[in-house]
Amino acid sequence: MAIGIIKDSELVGKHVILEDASDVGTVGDIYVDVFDWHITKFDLVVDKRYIERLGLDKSIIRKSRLSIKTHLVTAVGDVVHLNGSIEELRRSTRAVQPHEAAKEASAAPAAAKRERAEEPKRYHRKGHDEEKPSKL
Amino acid sequence: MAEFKLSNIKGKRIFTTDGLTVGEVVRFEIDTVQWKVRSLVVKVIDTAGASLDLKKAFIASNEILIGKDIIKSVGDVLNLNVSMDMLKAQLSAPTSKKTVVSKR
Repeated sequence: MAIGIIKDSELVGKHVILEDASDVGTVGDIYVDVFDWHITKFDLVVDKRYIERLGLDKSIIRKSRLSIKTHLVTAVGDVVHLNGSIEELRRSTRAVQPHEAAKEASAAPAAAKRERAEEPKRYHRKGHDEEKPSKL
Repeated sequence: MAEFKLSNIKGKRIFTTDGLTVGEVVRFEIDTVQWKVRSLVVKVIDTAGASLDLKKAFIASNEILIGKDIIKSVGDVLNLNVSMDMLKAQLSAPTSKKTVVSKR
């Protein structure tokens, strides 16, 4: 196999190392855009030592994950080298925490409904006031 | 943009333009320099193996590499943009072994 060509199963599970030598976790699911077969991102399964430092919530059921864009990868060998430090990773990536995403998704319509309920009812019928007969 | 998890494409069946099943996706070859899927490894079903003139392995099943260029669409299944005969021709062409489709 040519240099730089690896099986997906070889990439999944590789340790992800940052510039500051932090072993932040391993490669999880890989995402591909099937239009041009470009690998857009992969899930970083965060090591438990780094969960809090990355501002993620600990979950008993599911491991914490971060979505890593492939352009942040500087090299792939025995490990995957990523650009940046823990702090930069914390700032630049978006947490992929399914329970949180689900919570947000369910909270959004409820919040919108609440807002609608609090909002005073407005009627914008043109000329409504003018047409109203005045009390004698 | 249609984004899929690679793990979700695994196991999907592959069909040729003449509606014949080639097999199912078992793994991928990834170019980690350009970050592209280079080819798909397909486990060939027996009938397709016969059509493609693949020698029937004693224990293991036949696997072929399918280049991403001949994949037309991805959904519940994968459709190729070649017929079974064209796929066979590509398999037997020595020049295409490394690029489009190759016997393993």
